[in-house]
Amino acid sequence: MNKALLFKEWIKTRWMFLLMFVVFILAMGYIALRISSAARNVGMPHLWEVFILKNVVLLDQIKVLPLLAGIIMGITQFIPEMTKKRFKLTLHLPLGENRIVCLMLSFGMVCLLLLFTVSYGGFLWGLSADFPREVVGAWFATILPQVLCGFASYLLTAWIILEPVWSQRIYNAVIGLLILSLFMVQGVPGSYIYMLPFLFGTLLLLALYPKISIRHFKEGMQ
Amino acid sequence: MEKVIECKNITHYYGEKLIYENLNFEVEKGKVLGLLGKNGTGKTTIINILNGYLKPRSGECYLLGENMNHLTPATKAKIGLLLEGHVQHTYFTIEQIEKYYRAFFPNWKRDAFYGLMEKLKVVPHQKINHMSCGQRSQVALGLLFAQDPELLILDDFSMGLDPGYRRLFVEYLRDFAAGGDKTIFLTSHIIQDMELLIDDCMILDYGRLLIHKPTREIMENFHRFRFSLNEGQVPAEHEKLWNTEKNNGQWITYSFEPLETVRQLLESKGVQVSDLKEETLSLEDAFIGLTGKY
Repeated sequence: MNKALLFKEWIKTRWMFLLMFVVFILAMGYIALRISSAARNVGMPHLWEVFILKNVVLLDQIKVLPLLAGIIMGITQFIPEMTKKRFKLTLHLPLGENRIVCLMLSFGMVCLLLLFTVSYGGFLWGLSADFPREVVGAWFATILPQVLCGFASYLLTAWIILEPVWSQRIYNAVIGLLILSLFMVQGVPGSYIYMLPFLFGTLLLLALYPKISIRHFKEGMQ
Repeated sequence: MEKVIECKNITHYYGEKLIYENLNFEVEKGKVLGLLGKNGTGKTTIINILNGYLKPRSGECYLLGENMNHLTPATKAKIGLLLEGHVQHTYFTIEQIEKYYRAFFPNWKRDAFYGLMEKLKVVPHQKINHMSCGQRSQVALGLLFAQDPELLILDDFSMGLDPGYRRLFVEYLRDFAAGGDKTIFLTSHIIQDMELLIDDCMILDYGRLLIHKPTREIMENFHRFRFSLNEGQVPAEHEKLWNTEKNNGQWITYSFEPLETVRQLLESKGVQVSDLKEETLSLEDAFIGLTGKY
C-alpha cells in the first residue's frame, strides 16, 4: 500500500522532478565552467586567493533555486490533490490518516534530498579536487541554509495549498515568507554555522504544519 | 436488521443558514437508499458529514458501526465512495489507476474493472484526463465495482451524463445491489433514474427531512388530485394535502390519502369540489408534489 501511494506521488511529479533535475545540473555545470575558465585565465593560486580573502560565497547566484524547487515540488504534488477536492479520495484510502500524510510529505522531501544531494554534492565534490577541504567545508556550511530553505519552502507550500480557507491561506503565505527569510541568509562563508541547529529544528516543526491544514480540510472549513 | 448507516441528531449550519436540525435516519444492510432534495437542501453536505469531511454543529454518524470521524482502515476498505462529478485521479492512465487502487483492497476484482473498460473501447494506456465525462464516470464506477465494497456512497452519480451512460450506470448498480448484501446510499438530480433503483427514499427540504419511506409506498399511495371549484372559492388547507395550487384554471393537490378522504379534507371549509380526479405519479412527479416547484 505504501508503494502504491508513492507510485501516485511519482506519477504526479515525475516530469517536473526531472525538469528540475536538468535545471539544477545545468546551473551547476554553468558555474563549474565559469570557475574552470577563470582558473585557466588567472591561474588556480590567484583564484584561491580571491575566493578565500574576499570571502566569495559560491553558488550565490543560484541561491533561490532550492527555494523555488521546494515550492514547485509542493505545487506539483498538492495542487492536483486539492483540485476538485481529490484529497478526499486519498484520505478515504484504507490507511491511517497520519501514515498517508507522512508518506506524501516524505516522498517530496526525499525527492528534494536526492535533487540537492546529486547537484550540490556533486558540485562540491568536484571542487574538492582543486580546493582545500576547509574551504569546501565552509562553502558547504554557507550553502546549507539555502538547501534547507528548499525543504522549508516545500513544507510551507504544502501547508498553504492543503489549507481549504482562502483567507487562512493568505495568512499562511505571509507567515511562510517570514519563516523562509530566516533561511535566506547573507554572509561570509561559514558565518551561519551556529544557526544550523536552529534551522533544522524549524524544519522539524514545519513538518507538522500541513497537519493543521488537513484538520481544517476534514472539518469542512471553507 | 443490521444498520449500515446511522445518523443521530445531525444539526448543521453554513454561517447563519440552517441546513438541518436534529436530522435522524438509518440505512439497513442490503437497502438502496436514494437521497432526494432540491439544490441547496444539503445532499452533498450529508455525504461529506458521513465520510468525516465535514464537522456538523452537533450530532454523530456511524458507518458500519464506526464513528464518522474515526473510521479505521479496515472499515474504509469496505466503503466505496463516488464524489460529485465522478472525481478521480485523472493524471493516471487506465492501467495506472487500476494498479494504484488494486494495492489497497483485498477483494479487488480486476476483471470487473477491465470488463467495463472494454465496453468503453478505451485502451489501458489512455489517460483519464483525455476521456469524456461519461467515460470518466465509467472509470470511477469500474473502480468501485472492482473494490467490491459492502457500502457504496454515490454523490450525484448522474451529473453530466448523457441518457446512455446514465442507464448503463443504473443497470450496473442494480446488478451490484441484486445480491442483497450490498448497501447503496446515493443522491441524484435525475429522479427518473432513482425510480429504477432505490428501495427507500429520503427527501430533504430546506432545514428538515421531509419524508423517509419505502419508494414503493410513495409510488402506490401518493397521488395527484385535480379538481375544480367555483370562481373565487379556495380549498381548505390541511397537513395531509401537499402543495395545493391553481394551475391553468384547474386546482391541483397531492396526498397520501384516498380520493374520498381528500374530497372531505378539501371541502372541510364548506366549498364544493367538482371533477375530483386521482392520478398515479412517477417518482419525479411525487417529488415535485412533496417539495413544490419552487
